[in-house]
Amino acid sequence: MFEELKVLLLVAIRNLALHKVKTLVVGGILLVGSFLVVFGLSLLGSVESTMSQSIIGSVAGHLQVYSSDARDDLALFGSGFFGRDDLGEINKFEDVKAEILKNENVSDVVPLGFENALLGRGNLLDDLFERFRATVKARSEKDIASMIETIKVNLRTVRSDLENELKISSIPDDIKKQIVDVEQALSDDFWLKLKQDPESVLIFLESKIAPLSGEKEPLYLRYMGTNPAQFAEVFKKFKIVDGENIPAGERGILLSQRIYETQVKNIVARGFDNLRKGVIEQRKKIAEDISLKTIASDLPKQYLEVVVYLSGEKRSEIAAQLKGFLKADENELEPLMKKFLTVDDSNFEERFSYFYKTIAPSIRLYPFKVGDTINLRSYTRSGFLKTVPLKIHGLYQFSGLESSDLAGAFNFVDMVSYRELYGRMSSEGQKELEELRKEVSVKPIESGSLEDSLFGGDVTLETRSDDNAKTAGLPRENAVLEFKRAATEKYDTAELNSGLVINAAILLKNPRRLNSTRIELEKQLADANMKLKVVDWKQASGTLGQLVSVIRAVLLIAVGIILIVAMAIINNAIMMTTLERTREIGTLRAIGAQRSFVLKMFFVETLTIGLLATFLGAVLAVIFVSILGTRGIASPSDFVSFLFGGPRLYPTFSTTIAVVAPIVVAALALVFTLYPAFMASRISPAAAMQDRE
Amino acid sequence: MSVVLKGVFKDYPLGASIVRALHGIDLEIEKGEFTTIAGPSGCGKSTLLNLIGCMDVATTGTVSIEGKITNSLTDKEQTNLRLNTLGFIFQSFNLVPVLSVYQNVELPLLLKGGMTAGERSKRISELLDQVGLANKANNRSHELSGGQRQRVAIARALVTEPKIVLADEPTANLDSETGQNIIELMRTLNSKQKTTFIFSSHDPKVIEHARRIVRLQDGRVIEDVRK
Ligand SMILES: Nc1ncnc2c1ncn2[C@@H]1O[C@H](COP(=O)(O)OP(=O)(O)OP(=O)(O)O)[C@@H](O)[C@H]1O
Ligand SMILES: [Mg+2]
Repeated sequence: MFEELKVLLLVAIRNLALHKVKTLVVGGILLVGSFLVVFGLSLLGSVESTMSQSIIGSVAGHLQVYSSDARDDLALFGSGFFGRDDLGEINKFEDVKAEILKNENVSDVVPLGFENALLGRGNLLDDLFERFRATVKARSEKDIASMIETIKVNLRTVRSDLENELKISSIPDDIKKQIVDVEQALSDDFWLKLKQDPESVLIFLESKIAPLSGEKEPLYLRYMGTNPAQFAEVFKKFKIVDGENIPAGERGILLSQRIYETQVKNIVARGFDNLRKGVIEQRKKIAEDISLKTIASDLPKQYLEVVVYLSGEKRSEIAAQLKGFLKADENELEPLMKKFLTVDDSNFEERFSYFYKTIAPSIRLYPFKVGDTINLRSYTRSGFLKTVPLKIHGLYQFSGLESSDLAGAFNFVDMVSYRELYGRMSSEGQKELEELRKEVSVKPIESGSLEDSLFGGDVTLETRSDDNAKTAGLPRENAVLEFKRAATEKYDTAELNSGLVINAAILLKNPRRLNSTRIELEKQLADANMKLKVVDWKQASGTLGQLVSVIRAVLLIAVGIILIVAMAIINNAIMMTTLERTREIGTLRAIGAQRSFVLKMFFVETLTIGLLATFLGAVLAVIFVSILGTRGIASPSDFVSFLFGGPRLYPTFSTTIAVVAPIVVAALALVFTLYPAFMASRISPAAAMQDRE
Repeated sequence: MSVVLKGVFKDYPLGASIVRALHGIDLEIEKGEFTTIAGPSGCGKSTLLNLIGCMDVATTGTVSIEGKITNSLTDKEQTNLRLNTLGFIFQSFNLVPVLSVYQNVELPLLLKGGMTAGERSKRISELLDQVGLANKANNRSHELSGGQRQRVAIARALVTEPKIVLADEPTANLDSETGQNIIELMRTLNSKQKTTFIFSSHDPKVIEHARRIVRLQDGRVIEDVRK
């Protein structure tokens, strides 16, 4: 037995050395195959673990619980549709939380609920006229005069835009009327009226002229209601980067730093930021990169977004500086600014630093800042458009995921404000409303115009939205007036953990027991008569969670196909050498080798080269992964940084994969040796007589 | 009796027809005989040796080797018979190219098993000495001349101490002088070890070394003389 193996190995090794081409082909294929499998699976495993950390550590927790009445699946990172998912409701969160906490593997339960809100951003001239109104109120002659100049400059731009539009418009009459309005606002007579009747001038500007500059696209904000203090405590990646977390018992919103920088910030500044990322960080060329090219060509068109914030002395000051900087002949700010914003690869770095050093300090970079109050508008469940003013307490980000749009998609509000936007009042608010209803016999109110007369300035009203299809067919009662003294109202922190929530994140002490705990919890909740679903983070994250499984399947199928092709080649190569070796095999058979010996000879040959090559492939893959593990793989996009859990992936290899994969690949090669080996074992001993050397 | 053939016919299918290579051979070869099968090309020498060598079976008639009728043996039994009772020398030497001289000679012993490395080494050295290749033990076959290779093949054929050694035209690939030396060596070993030698040839100079000449023509024995 041992003797036989010795011959087999001897013959195998000698044969491998003799048939070098075959050995190289077979060995090469197996090496590459094993390398790919180990490398691919290691990378994928690393991505899966970083992605799971990204998802678990940002908002998902290990498990999520939500109502089994939900018509849609919970998709924390979006189901792919921008719309409102029906996730049902958890009405008595306090009971659910208590029940879940009974499981000894649960460490915490965080209330959640997410929704989309609209944030109107007004338009350019709105901003300008708003400041003009303030200036007029302050009665500073000098400031007023300089603002008028700014307004006139902007109006001339609006006029030339309208004239251009007139040439191609299908509604020329409307545009002609608009031009007449602009002409009027540019006339000296118009401005003379400012002294006697400032209000009529302001109203004309605000109502007739402002709309002409076009509404800026509203900002869509995805907000997540939660218990802010608990959230910050449980989700370790969560970090406040400006301001503070929403204090206990107070209302407010935390904006995502990412959204603040990439959506809220002045559009010209954003253009510069994006170009900087491409040109300086990623070393791309504006001239060669389509998206950079688009940003660069948009910049000069957005000059108004800068000049509108410059008035009076600032205007002439910046114009003079630009003239010097650009060595231009023009004196006017507008053409200078346009020229300044025309950037290319040769001038970008210089323009970028000039913009931030000289221009940015004079303009409003962000429409709102930490400490400001914004009006969050959202549709309640009953279809009212509800506006709630919320103080921006701070900006946050998830550590390691700073540049990810996915992780930065959420803005956090306290659960009490969430419920209000959702259309569910706090207990106090409900009591108050009851009393009010008694005092005033409330009828459905169609507009917000009564709010001041009823409650004073500090109150917002729900207005029934006519254009919202969701209201159709709802009982009329839903239209009753609801109110909230929103921004200033305090609440009892206990309210955060009781009452309505939509879903909740469950954190586990031992995440390895995730699946068994999920099953236990499902049973536990069912036994307690709570109709709730418990899903793991993968499922809860929507399509994203399945992504890795999909990539893995695709990778395995691809590797499978490659391996099958490789095996066909190996099969062929062995078949060829078998033909070449007919006389040798016949001789072995003639001098007394059994068929089984011939079979074994082939297997030992394949296994020798197979294991050598596949383990070498695996070792190379491990070395390669380790090198990448110290250097890191740069994420090619913001989306991928989320999967990587940061800007770079530091992959690690799995020992199991590094050991099992080469064995599997070698075994596969063995399977594909079966047929040639069988054929060889059928070679007659008489083949030894074939007369050729 | 070492080899007994009774009424042996051998047909080969050739396309739709058949070729009758052997026409009723009756032949007995005694232990220790040094026999040559002679005859022109295509007369059936190889066919006959293959039947004796258990590499093929007779169409009709019986072949018995050392008293054992081989016709109905399984492939495994035939292989064992080749391994234990027979030794082979081939026209083209058929050394396993990847192995050294020593390893080639050792191969049948390893296939057979049951000997320690020391016992094997002793036996192989003896044989290589007898065939005059004691100093070539570690060479690979392509480093040897044709005559040397055939000596290695002879050593390999004899290493298991077979009862019968079969050689199909062992000198056809050698020049005349070398061929005669090889036959002389075989003759020497035959007389020393009492091993039955059966070889085929159509070379008169080689044939005359044999003690018994069996002449074939068209698959029939036309002459059978002992010297
Ligand atoms: N496998 C085979 N299939 C068909 N015919 C065969 C086969 N082997 C041998 N023959 C035929 O049988 C006859 C005898 O052939 P064999 O090889 O035994 O002759 P030989 O005496 O050894 O000839 P040579 O001196 O050329 O080696 C020949 O006619 C040959 O063509
Ligand atoms: Mg022949």
